[in-house]
Amino acid sequence: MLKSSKQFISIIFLVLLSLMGCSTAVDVFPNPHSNNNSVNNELSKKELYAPIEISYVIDNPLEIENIDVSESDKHQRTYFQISGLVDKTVENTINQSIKSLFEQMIPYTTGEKLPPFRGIASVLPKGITISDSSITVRPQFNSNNVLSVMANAYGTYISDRNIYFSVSDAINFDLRTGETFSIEAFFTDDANGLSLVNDAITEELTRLSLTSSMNGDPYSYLNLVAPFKGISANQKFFISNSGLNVIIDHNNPEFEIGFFNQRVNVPFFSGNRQIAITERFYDKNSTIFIKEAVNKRFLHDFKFNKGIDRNSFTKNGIQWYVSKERAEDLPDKLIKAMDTLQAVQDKKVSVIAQHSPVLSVEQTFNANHIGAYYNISSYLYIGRTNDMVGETVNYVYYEDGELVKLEDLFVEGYDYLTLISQALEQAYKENGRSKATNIEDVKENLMFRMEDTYISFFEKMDLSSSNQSQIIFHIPYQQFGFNHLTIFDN
Amino acid sequence: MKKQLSLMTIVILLIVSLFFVYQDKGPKFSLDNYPKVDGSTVTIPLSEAIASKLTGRSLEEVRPYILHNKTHEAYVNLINKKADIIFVTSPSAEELDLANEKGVVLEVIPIVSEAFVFLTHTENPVNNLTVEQIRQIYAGNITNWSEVGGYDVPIIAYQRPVNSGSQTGFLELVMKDLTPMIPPMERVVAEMGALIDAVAAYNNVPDAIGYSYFYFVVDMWGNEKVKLLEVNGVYPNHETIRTGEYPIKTSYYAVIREDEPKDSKVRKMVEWILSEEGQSLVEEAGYVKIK
Repeated sequence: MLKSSKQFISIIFLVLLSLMGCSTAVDVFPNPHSNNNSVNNELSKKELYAPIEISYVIDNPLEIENIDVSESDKHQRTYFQISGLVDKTVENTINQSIKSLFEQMIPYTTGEKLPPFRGIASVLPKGITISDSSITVRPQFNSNNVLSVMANAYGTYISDRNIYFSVSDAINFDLRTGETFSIEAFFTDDANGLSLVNDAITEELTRLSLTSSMNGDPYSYLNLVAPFKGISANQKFFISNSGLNVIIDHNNPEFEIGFFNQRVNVPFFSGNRQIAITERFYDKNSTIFIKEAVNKRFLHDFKFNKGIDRNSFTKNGIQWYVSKERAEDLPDKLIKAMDTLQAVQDKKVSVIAQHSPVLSVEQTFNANHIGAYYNISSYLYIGRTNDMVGETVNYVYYEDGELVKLEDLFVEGYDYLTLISQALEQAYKENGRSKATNIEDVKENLMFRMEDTYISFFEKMDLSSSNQSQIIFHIPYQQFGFNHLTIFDN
Repeated sequence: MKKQLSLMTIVILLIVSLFFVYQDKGPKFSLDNYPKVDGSTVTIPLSEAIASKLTGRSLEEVRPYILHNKTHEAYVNLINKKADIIFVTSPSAEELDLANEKGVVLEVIPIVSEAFVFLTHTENPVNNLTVEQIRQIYAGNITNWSEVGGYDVPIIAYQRPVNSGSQTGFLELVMKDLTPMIPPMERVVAEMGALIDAVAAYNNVPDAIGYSYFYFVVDMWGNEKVKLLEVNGVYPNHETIRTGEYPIKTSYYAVIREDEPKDSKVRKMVEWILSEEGQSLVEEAGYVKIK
C-alpha cells in the first residue's frame, strides 16, 4: 500500500522512466565499436610526424605454436599461441585473447549463432545444418613489436543450393604491453588516419562501381545502401605485409556485402609517408623478446598505384601484345630503363624476323620497388610458323637508374658466391641437369631479383636456349646473414 | 483506507493510460509472422528500420531477416507471390507486362520522396540551372559554363555507368526524349590489375557537373567541397523535395498485390508507414517524407 505522496511520486517517476526506456527510437546505424576499453592509450604520448620513410620491418622473434582442434575433416579448427616474450604476463594475456578470438568464432560454424549478415536468415530453410566449416586464426603481421591476428570462420549450408558465408575478426597487439591499438596508431599524429582510410574506402567503392559489370567474383562486392559517413576509430582492421586492411562487415551496415566480409587495403606506401608502423612501435633498444630480433623484411608495394597497361596492335604483319605493369610514380630514370629494355627486345624481334617469319610477339614488363631498389623484369615470347622462342630478363636498379650489381648487395670481403654456387648446384640437381659450376662463372650466368625476405636467382637464358627449362632458386637474406648485407642500410 | 484505495486506483489508471499512450500505434509482428518483404538496394535501410520498429527488435536483430533482391527480382517475387510487399522504384513496362501476364494487378503506393540532384564544386559560381539547361548540357549542346552564367571554361559533364540505378533515373527523369552525349571515360584498375576504360566517376573540380539521388549525397563522406545546384531556382532539401517544389522529383514505393484483403498485414503495414509515426521513421532513416 502506498503510505505517502512521496511513494506515489516515486512510482510515477519509475513508471515514466520505464516507459521512456520502452520507446523504440531507431538509430539506423549505431556505432558497434563504441565500447572498446582495451585500446592502448599510452601510444598517444609518443608524437610522430610525417614524412616517415619505411622500407623494411624487423620480424618479432616469437615462437608460433599452431593448435589444431579440428573435429573432423569437414569441420577444421586451428588457432595459435605465442611464446618468446620476456614478460609472461603480457604473453599470457595475448594468448588468452587469441584463444578467445578463436572461441567466439565457434558458434558461427556450429549453427548455434546465425552469421550476422543481412538477409541470411531469410534464405536458410528451418532446421538446416552447416555441412562443412573451418576456423583459422593466424598471425597476419608479426614484426616491429606488433602482432596482428585475424580469425576467419567459413561455413557452408547445403539446401537446394549451397550457401557460403565467412565471418572475420581481428586483433592488433602492441607486444610491449599486450594491449590492442586502434586504427589511428597506424598513422603519424599529424595525419588524419580515419580520413585516409575513408578516402581509400571511397576510392574502392568508386572503382568497384565503375567495374561492376566486369567483376565476375560473386564473393567480392561492396555496394552502398546508405550514404557512407566514414568509419569510426574502432573500425575492425588487421595489418599485413601489404599494409592496413579494413574489414567491412555487419558493423558497417551502410554497405551491402552479401554473406562475406570485404576488405579494403591501405598500402604501406600510400599517402604522404604518414604510416608510423616502425616509429610508433619499434625500438631497437627494447628487449621484450627472449631471443634477439635480427630478421628483416622489406615491405612490398605491390598493387600500389599499379595497373597493367595492355596494348595489342599489328606492325609489319606481326601481331604484338605488349603489357606494362608499373607504379604510377615510378621515377623517370626507371621508366627510361624499361623503355631501353623494350627497344633491345624490339631489335631482337627484327633480327629474327629477317631469318624466319614471325607471327606474333608477346612482351611483358614489370617494375616494382623493394626497399631502396627497383626490380624490372621482362618476358619476351616470339611465335614463329613452327615454334616459339622466349627469354626472361631480370634487373635490379637504384632509383637513379643505375644497375645494381650482385656484389653491391654484400659487405666488402664477404664470400657470397660460395653460398650461391651451392644453391645453384642443388637447383641443377633438382632439375635433373648436371653442370659443374665454375664459381667464377656464377655471376655471369645468373640474374637476380630482390624480394621481401629473399633474393631470387635466374639462370640467364637467351632466345637460342629457350627450349630448356630455366633454373630458378631463392636464397633468404637470413641465410646470407643480415650482417653481411648492405641492402638494409639505406 | 478509502483515501489509499483511491490513490491506488489513480496510480493504476495512470500506468494503464501511460502504457497505451506509449504503445506504438502500428501493427505488431514477430520475426516469424513478419510479411515477406523484398525490394531495391536503396530501400534496405528503410525496410530494416520498419521491421525493427514493427517487431520491437533491434536493427541488428532484424537485419538477417530482411533480404532485398534488387528492384526487378523484387517485382518478379511479388508477382509470383514469393514476396508480400516490396519497397522499390516504380515498375518498368516489362514488370507491368509480367504482372498482366500473370493476372496480377499491382498497387503502387508512394511512401518516400526522392529527388534527382545535380552537383558541382563549391568554387563553381553557378548556383542554379534550369531543367532545360541541364538537358542541353548533357545532350552536348551547352558546352561552356559561361553559357549558363559561369566562368569561360568547358563543362565536364559526368555521367554514371550504363544500367546503374542513377543512370536509369537520369535518362527517365531528366533526359526523357533526348540522347545524352558520350560520357567522359577513364582508365580504372579492374580485377587482376587490368586497366579498363569505364565511364568516368564524378571528379569534384570547379568545372565539373554530376548527378545522384538526394539520399546518397546528403552526409556522404568527402562531400565537403560539393554543392547541390538549384534547379529552376529551387534548392533541393527535405522540404522542397517533399512538397514537390523541387522539380526533378521521384518516389520510392511500397508495392503490393491489389487483391490483398482490406485488413491484411501488409495493408496495415503500409497504412502505418504513411502515418505520422511511420513518416517520422522514414525521416529518421535518412529519407524524405512523402507528406
